[in-house]
This record gives sequence, structure tokens and C-alpha cells, in this order.
Amino acid sequence: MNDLIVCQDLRFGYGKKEVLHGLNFTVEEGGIVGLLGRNGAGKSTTINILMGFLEQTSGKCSILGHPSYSIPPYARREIGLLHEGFIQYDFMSIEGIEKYYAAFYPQWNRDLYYDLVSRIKVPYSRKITRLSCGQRSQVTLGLILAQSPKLMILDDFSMGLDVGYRRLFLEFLRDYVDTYKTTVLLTSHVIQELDSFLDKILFIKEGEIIYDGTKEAFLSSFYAYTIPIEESKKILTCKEISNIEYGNKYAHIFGYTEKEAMQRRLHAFGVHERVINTLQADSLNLEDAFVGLMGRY
Amino acid sequence: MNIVSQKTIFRAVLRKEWVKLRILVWVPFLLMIAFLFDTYMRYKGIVALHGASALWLDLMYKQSITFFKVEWVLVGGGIWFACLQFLPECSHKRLRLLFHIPVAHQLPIYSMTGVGLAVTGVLFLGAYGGFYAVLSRFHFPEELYVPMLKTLLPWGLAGAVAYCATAAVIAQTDIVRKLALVFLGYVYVSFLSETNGFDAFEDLGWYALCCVPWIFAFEAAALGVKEGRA
Repeated sequence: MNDLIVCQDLRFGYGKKEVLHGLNFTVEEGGIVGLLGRNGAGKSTTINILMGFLEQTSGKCSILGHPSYSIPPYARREIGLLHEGFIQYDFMSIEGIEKYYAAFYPQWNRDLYYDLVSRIKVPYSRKITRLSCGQRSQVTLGLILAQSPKLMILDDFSMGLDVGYRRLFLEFLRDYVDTYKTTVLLTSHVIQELDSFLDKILFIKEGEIIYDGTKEAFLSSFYAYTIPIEESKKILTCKEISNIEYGNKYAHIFGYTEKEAMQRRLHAFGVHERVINTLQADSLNLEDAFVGLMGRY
Repeated sequence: MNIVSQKTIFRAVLRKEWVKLRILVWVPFLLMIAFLFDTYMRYKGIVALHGASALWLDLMYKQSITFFKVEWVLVGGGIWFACLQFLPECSHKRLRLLFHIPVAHQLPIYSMTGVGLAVTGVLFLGAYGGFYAVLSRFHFPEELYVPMLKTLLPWGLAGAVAYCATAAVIAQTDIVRKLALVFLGYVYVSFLSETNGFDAFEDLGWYALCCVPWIFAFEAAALGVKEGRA
């Protein structure tokens, strides 16, 4: 399968502070890939490198076969980019901005744009600056879809959107991807609606990719167990545990270890037999697993 | 592969510039008309109170530059046009949009700068023509009105520099470089607008040549986007 994005040992730092510590990932043609991580994990820095707004300090980063820092204009035509915060020329009207962008894209799909913006029920002569964040997101998405790009990069698409607009956004995107077979790389720190949406996930934490694979594979291999807080203090040095989150009475321990193996590890660390015998894996959705892997703080 | 013509792209950029400029672009033109009218009334007042000879003597021997407000309009107009065009273009990281559109970034950048310099040029031509009309009302001889008109030339150049410098200052996000541009722009504009008599710049061509690099200042500042600074 054709790799649209390739990052190999990608490193970047602001001044002397390195924020990306050798990222390795590829985005293959087709499907929706989520680059997910908490605030400050390095998502936007990665996107900025991909789009040539930053140059990596070392490593390789190519997009559609071109070095990301020097993407030629004809290749940019194939990339639909959603800038963080739905940045647009908001001094222009809904119809004015469509005319502006249409001039740059030979395969411009005007009907698609108006199909999307007609749903926000505002006159087309209205300036974008007078639209709400949700309405602006629809206009911006419409502009990207109308480009008919081969690859879409959506940087923090959920920023400022309420749950209704988030779902609307994703629904449209899903339909579009299914119809036109476009590849999407999106970043988000809101996981709620992405559960049934992503074909592949990349978890990024403190500038490192800590998981790269399908959601199903991740959820079937990542476990959570609940044990009393006092017992959790015995297993702080256990290497099989990725993260421990503390509640009032219970601690949730997360890791890639199955129940039987975990029971053996807990036994080795001297956890009370009653706790080991009653140990059960908690059921996790993507958001639970995300918090379990990334931590709350 | 389908190709988009340069003409279509240029037209799109022009349309965007028109959206930004159309409402407030007229302000310097209105001020220019007001200041030219003020100059006309001033000369008319001198003629009415003291006679034409007093006006002629004042202009010939003292070389009083009573029309200095035109200089403000030309320099202020340059700053004004740059603000109208580049504040909406550069604020809130919007400059990134320009660098993502699928054409060489020089095309939209120099189309925008070209539009701004053209409008600044039209303002200058308006001031020049308007001032000529004022002077011709008083039947000044060529030996007097030509140097008076030539006094406006470095001011026109100052207006163009003010435009380019303001555009670059707006696009620049590094504070040290921004301050350096402000300082450099101020030095250029001060130098070009400083005069104690009519047609003080005999070798204006050389000064104009020294101002040419300002045309590239906006692109240089905007490239900060490629350094992650916008």
C-alpha cells in the first residue's frame, strides 16, 4: 500500500528543549488515522513539520513523497489542511471565500461546499467573522472537502466545537472518506466521538509515539484492573504497569498484561491474595484506555 | 492534470484585496482632498488679504511649504493601506493560509504588494494632480510651480516606503526584527520627507534605487511562517 506520510526518527526542539524525540510512523493510503495525545504532547508540532511550517532538527519527514519542508505547489493541491482553530480569511463572506479558493484548485467541487454550508442556514453573503465557531467549522470543512484532496490533515478539529458540531463534522467527514477514498490524518485531544471513527490510532505522549495500530488491536491488548489503594503502593515499581490512576478508595492500574499474567505479577509483589483472586479486567472504551495510557495529570 | 491559469489566480487575489480595501481605502483620498482644499484656501486668503505679490514673494523667497499636510497624507496613506491589507492577512496565524495555497508563495505576496503600491501610487498621482490644479488656479510661472510639484516626489517615495515597511512590520512576529524594521522605516521616511525648500532632492533617482529593497521586505518577514513563528 502507498505511504502518504512517512516520519522516521523525527526530532524537533524549540531552542535547546527537544519536544519530539524520534517519532516513527507512516500513514498509508485510505482510512482515517488519529494522532491522539494530551495538550502539549507534540501533535501540533508534528503537523507543523508535516506542513512545512517547521523544519525538523533531524530525521526524515515526507508527505506525498516530498520532503515536508519543501512541498511543491502541485502537491499542496492534493492536501487539504485544517489549521488549528479553524483559521480562515474571516473578513470574507461565505460565497466570497468559495470563489477565492476555487481559483486555485482545478478539481474544485462547488456543490459539495454549498451542500455543507447550506445546512448552517445563514445567508451566503454573511462574513465568516460573524459566524459561530461551529458554523465556521462547517465552512472550513466545506472548503477542504471541495478541494477534493488526496490527503486531509485536520489539526485539532474538535477545538471550540460543542458535541453537536463535533458529531456533525465527523459524520460528514466519514461519508466523504467512504465516498472519495480520501486519507485523513487528524489530531485531537477529545476522544469521545472518535471511538467508532478511526481506522488507525497513533498515541503520542511527551513527544514519542507510544502506540501505533488499530483501535481494535489496542483495546484487545490494553487492560485496566481495579485494586485497593493501599495494595497499589506495593506495585509502584512493577514494569508491566503502564500507569496507575488513583481514586478515593481504589486505584486503577493499566497495562498490556492479561489477567493471569497480571495476577502472577501482583503475587510476586506481595499483593494480598484476596485482591489477586478477585482481580477482573475492567471493560474499556477508547476514551478510558486513552486516559489510562496517557494519565489524568 | 488540470491547470489553473495565472490570470485566474491573480484575479482571485485581486478580489480578496478588494474585499479588504473597499470600505476604508477612501479615507486617505478624502483627507487629501481636504488638505488640498486647505492649501487652496490658504493661498486664496493671502491673495485676498495681502495681494498676489505677497503670495509670490512668500513662495519664491521663503519657499514656504504650506502644503506639508499632503506629506502626511502620502505617508499616512501608505501606512493606512498596509494596515488594511495586512492586518487581516497576518493576524491569528492567517499567513499560514497563504503559504498553503497551491501556488508559489511569491505570486500572492507580490500581487498583494503590487495592489497596495498601486493604490499608494494612485494617491500620489491624485495629490500631484490636485496640487497642480491648485497652483494653476493662481497662474504661477513654470519656474515656480515645477519645483513646488517636484517637492511632492520624495514624499510619494516616502509613502511607498511607509507602505512596505508597515506591511513588513505587521508580518514580522519576531519582536527584535519588528523593532528593527520600525526603526529602519522611520529613518527612510524621515529622510525622504525632510525638506527646507522646494525640490530639495536633485538626485532622487538614487534615493529611489535605495528604496527598492523595501519591496521585498514583506516577503522576507512573511517567511517567518516557515520558521514556525506565525
